[in-house]
Amino acid sequence: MNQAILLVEDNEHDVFLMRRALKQAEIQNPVYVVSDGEQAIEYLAGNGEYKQRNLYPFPALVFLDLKLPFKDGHEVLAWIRQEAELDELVVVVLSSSDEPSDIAQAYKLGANSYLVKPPSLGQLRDLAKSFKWYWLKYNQFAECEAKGVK
Amino acid sequence: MNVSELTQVENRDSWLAAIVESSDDAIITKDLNGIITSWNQGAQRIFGYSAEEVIGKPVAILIPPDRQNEEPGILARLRNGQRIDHYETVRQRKDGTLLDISLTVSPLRNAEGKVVGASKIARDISVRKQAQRALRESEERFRAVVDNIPQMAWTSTQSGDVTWYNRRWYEYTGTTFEQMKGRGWIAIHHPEHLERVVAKFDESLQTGRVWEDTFPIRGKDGKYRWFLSRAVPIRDSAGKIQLWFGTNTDVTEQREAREALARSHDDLEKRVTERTASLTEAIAQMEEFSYSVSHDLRAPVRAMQGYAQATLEDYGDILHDQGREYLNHIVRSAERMDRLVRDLLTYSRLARSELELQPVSLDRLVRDIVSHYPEMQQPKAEIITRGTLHSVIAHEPSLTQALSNLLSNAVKFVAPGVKPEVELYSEQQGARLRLWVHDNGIGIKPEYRGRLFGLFERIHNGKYYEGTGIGLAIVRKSVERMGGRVGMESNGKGSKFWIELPSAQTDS
Repeated sequence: MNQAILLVEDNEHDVFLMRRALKQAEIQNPVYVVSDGEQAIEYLAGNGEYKQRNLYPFPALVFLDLKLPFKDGHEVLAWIRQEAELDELVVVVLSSSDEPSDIAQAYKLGANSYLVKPPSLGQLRDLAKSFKWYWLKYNQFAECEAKGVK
Repeated sequence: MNVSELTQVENRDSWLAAIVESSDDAIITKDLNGIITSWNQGAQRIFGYSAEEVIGKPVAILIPPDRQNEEPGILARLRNGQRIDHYETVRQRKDGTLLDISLTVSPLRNAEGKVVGASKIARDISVRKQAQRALRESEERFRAVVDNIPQMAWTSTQSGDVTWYNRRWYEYTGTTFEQMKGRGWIAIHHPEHLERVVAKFDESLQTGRVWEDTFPIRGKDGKYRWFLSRAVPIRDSAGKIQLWFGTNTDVTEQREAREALARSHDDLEKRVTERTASLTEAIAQMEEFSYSVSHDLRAPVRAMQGYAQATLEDYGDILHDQGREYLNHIVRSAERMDRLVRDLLTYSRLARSELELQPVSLDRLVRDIVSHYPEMQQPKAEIITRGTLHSVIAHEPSLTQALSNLLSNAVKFVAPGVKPEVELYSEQQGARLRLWVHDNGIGIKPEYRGRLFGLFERIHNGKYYEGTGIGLAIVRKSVERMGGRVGMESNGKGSKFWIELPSAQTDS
């Protein structure tokens, strides 16, 4: 079963490039996109329209941008890690920033990985491929969805 | 009168004569004309004449020329039967020297009670007079000195009544001794300080301890100046206080200087606080700016690159060669732009971050760096180290950045077709260690070396050698932030760059 990927990204161009790179890396998992921090929390909590998990499946993996409208990536990450049921959700920060303070804070808040957005499409594709190799092919995801997040 | 009575009289006469002869004082008799009639041993000792020399001579030979007029007066009083007691005057010795004497002259009467002459007792008092003169002179010298010191000075009795002020006191206060004697000085003290001053002064008078105080005294211009005042008790040989000697030293300027200093110190403190605040604000703004550059400035560049690349991939086959060429320019420019932004961020981060310094092994660091960059490894390039490189005190991430930049320059700037060969070695320079990076590259012309470590300085043609012009600026900034120095030499056969940092060797 192909588990969902949630992409939290407000820049539509980055969304386009990411989708394209995932597709070129032949990652089949369905990609759902939310464009701000509040929506990300609503989605993961299953509030409002996101209750309909047939339309908005609970993801096995989240790509999280840091600079987001309303709540930023660090806040979303902090929220995720204090929700007992989301303990084992894999969160990969995907940011333009390579500021040491951003990286350190993301790991401190419980990010599983921190990737700097590469400057070229070719490098993004390489990143998606190696990502597939590690996270999607061999990593055994915990069954977050089965526990049912309220 | 019988024989035994006569013998008694003779005995008494010789007895008295013995007393006269043995006296230390000069005992002389003279008649009413002033002619000397007897002269004892004491007289010979004091005046230098023998009895034979002076008996029958006028007594005036003992009187110095300027006192010759004394004798008629003395003789006149004697004739009237009057006595002269302890008359202090000056007489002359045989050798002409003068001496101070105390003179007692008594009339001598005959059996009828008529005055027929005089007995004169002269006591040498030159030693006592000398002592008195010496005392007066020493007191005059003291006054002369104390009148000319820049301080005000005074003496007071043991109960604090002032008996004398020096000249400076009158010059400054414009007062007279009549106004100031006793406790007259109270009049020119500042009312706010007077009570304290008097209380402390009285306490010293009571205890006999040195008095010291600082207070304002009013000058003749009506203005107050500050004086540091001190008085010490002068005691006699028995330890009893005879008098107090006091001084008042003008310390107005010192006080003003001290106050000015305190004020300027406060000012400085305030300015430092203000500057620190504005600096802190500037740093905060800088950080905000960098954050924004990091996150926002790179997104459009990424989009430009991505869409151009996507266009090439998806529509490359329906474009002409020139169209594809244009898109390639966009892709490469966007990549270069991203590298520039990243290097700038690195540079600004170096300038503002706190660097924690600790020992770093250069040998390990070089191995780590080379293992990260394929272009520094065989067969593309050869990086060798000569001997042990040792350790330095540094911030490892910053040093990694600096050394990576130097090494990638070393393997980049070679003539076409030449395999880069880089040699690393270190030398101890006192407490510092200098790491040399010697390459076989194209070298750098001497005229460009001054610009080498500046920001955005490019001294090679971008057509042949890629670069942002920030790499060496980053090297310098990071090394300087770690308390070190950088430099380079070029002798036509490649370049020799060096980094100098505090050595981690304890035995150096």
